[in-house]
Amino acid sequence: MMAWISIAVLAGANMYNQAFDQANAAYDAGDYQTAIDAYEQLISESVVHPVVFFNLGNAYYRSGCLGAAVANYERALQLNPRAEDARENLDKCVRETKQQLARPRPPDWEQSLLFWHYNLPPRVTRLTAIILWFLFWSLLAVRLVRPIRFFRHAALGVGLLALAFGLSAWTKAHTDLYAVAVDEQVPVHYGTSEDETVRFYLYAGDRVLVDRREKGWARVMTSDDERGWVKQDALALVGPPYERPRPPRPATGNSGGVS
Amino acid sequence: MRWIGYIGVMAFAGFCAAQEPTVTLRVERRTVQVNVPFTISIEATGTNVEDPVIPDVDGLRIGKVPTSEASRTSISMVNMRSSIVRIREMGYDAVATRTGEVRIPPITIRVDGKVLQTQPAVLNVVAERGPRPARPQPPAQTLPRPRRPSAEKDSELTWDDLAFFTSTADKTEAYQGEPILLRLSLWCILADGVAVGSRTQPPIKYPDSQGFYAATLDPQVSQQERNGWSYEVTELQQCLFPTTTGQLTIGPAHWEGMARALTRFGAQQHSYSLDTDPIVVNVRPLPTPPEGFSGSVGDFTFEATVNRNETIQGSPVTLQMKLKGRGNPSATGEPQLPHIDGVYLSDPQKDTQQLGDGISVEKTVTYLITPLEPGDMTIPEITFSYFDPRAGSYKTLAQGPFAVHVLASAEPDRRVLVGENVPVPEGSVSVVGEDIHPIVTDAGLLRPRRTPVPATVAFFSGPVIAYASLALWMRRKRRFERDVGFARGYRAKSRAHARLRAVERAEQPSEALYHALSGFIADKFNVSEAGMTSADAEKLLATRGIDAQVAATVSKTLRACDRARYADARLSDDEVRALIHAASAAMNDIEDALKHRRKSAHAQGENS
Repeated sequence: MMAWISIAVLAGANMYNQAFDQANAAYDAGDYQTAIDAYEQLISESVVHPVVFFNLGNAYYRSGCLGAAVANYERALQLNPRAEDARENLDKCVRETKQQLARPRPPDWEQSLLFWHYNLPPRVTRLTAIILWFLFWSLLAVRLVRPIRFFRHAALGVGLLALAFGLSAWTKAHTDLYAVAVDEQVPVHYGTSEDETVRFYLYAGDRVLVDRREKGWARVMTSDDERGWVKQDALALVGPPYERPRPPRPATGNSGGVS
Repeated sequence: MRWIGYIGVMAFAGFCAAQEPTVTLRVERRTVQVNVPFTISIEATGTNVEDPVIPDVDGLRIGKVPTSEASRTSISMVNMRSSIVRIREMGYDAVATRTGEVRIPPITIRVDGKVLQTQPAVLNVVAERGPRPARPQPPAQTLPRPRRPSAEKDSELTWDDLAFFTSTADKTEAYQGEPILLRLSLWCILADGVAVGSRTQPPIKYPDSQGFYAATLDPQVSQQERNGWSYEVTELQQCLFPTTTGQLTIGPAHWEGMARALTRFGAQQHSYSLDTDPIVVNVRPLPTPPEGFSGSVGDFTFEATVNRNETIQGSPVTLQMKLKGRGNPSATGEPQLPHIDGVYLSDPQKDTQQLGDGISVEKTVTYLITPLEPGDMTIPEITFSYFDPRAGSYKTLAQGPFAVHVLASAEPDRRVLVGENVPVPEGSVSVVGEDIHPIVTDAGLLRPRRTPVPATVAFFSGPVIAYASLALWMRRKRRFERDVGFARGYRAKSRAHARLRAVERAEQPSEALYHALSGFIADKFNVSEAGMTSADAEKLLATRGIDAQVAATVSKTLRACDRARYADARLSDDEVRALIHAASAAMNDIEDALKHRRKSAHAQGENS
């Protein structure tokens, strides 16, 4: 039975690796649209891997979709914060954006409590949280069977660590706060209507923090603390469910300041 | 005469009863902002006013429970006809959830047994205009202070002299984005025997300023003279920046207050509900902007500096551009840095500070410019254009150009990461490739990552359940170790049945049967088995509340065994089987009786 499962798993794995190889081949042949479709197909089948996002970011970059490229490099970095290639490609993309906006900072509570977790991949924090969780209950169980000095304090310490890593894992799994503008020019309004006055503009590749969503609109905040409402389909959310961004729309109207 | 009095009272009561109950719906303001709370009031006149049924309204969240409530009785006499009106007023908090027109349907309320409905109301909901600043809190109640009025003042005061509320704007003609200062002044008299205070929190409602970006300034409280009287003047200020052109209206500001005064008729009080006059502002569009205009309107100064005029190839220089002035903080743009050849430009670091007066802004933009080639690098002239509403024209401020001499690096092969916002160590230079890093072809084993929620829950709850099971097991184990009675009682039945099974094979079945039964009883009641006679067993069962019939059966069985043991009479197999059966039945009866007793005791404990 186990052998059969292993074969099935390997067969599935081969299928995904084959699709990945085909996407890479299309990329190397300069057929970026086919490569994008293949990488996106993998992601839609829950093959969530930093390398897939990195390659997809490259394919979007080559096909001129700066916003989607930035979003996918950000995804790759969220899954593996130590991916230097992704970081450098992302920097290059950001340099090519019109405003070169910095990435918005996470919420204050996260910066205060989880200042230590930004360089840890989600997989590491998740695994650590699980191990600490089991260790915590094991220590409690051992203490129940045979009370040992300092075990109570040790269990408490391990429990607190499990809590901290659990919070970190949860935060990393809920990264839908970040979004990237995909259209060439995205008007940011005072309210949730296109008739509302345009407050400012975002440009392809600008990264924002989404703090509220309402009827197809998202309230965004830039690194300069500028706020406003944006149509949600003009953004690509960095976090799960990793939806495919729509093709960028060309800029319309004038940009800048109060309109 | 008494009859005349009775008739009068009856007629008066009848007249009062004849007053028709009415209900009225009031909305604090007809134009509201999304997510900005406001109040809906229902006023009903009648003797017995029940709570209204608040309907669900699309686009509006209305609290189901009143947040304020007031009742009053009014007696009036007009043309020799008197009437008593009881009024109950209920206030509900409401918040609009979408923009557009929102209709509040008639609200049903039962008054004096009659079902009445309020008139419908239509609200115009506009979008929320940014985060609402904290509002100043003038004192909730101004206590009378001893002040002597000036000699020339008129000694008679009216209620209108005690408190009044005004609003002024410093201009009614403005350009789009030009600041307009709105002043709201609440005048409350300071005089002996007079107290004026606000009835609501916050005391003053700012006006609806649709079409403006509003910045609230710090409130000021001062003491001023007017018509010979001293007043405490609370002045609230808002700086309004028109965001659209055309005729815009600054709505009325609202204040509700109460004054108490000692008059020639004794102590009296008066309620105020004051609205300022709306102010119409004509907003002109800006003229055609010059190139590089980024929307800044106001009065600004611009300064740009470079931290050094000589550097090494790959080592950045810092360009800081500082913009300072008065204008809309959210619409003030920034200077545009022109293209510079042969350099790497970092992400800009931006810092915007709103200064104390609320409309002065200081914006700093800092770039790290890393020269990639040795030689002379020139940062071209940097310009900043803004519209000056006082001059009615655009102005352009310029800084630079800046010349920086770039020395060649001594280590040309070493790679340096440019693009980080940190100074790069000097002497470590090479140019990062212009192209992106290529795709990665080895991703390892790819597989979907799906973690179903039930599996996650089971995974994390597993240790908790295991720990709880272990805790229960340990608790039971410790009880077995510490509580001998519990342990004997728990094992009594299995031990007795094992003994019964051995009876038929025993050399002396009657003796084995005796010990099985007496041992069961001894275990169950945690007493010594040795020397237990049938009389002892019967007595023990009786004292422990076991049914007399069961006790008699047990006693009879034990006696039969006794007789066989001591009379040296050999029991036939049938007799042994019958006794085993009787003993087994007696054990079961004792077990059932004890269970029943435990349940009763448990039920009694719960009841008590």
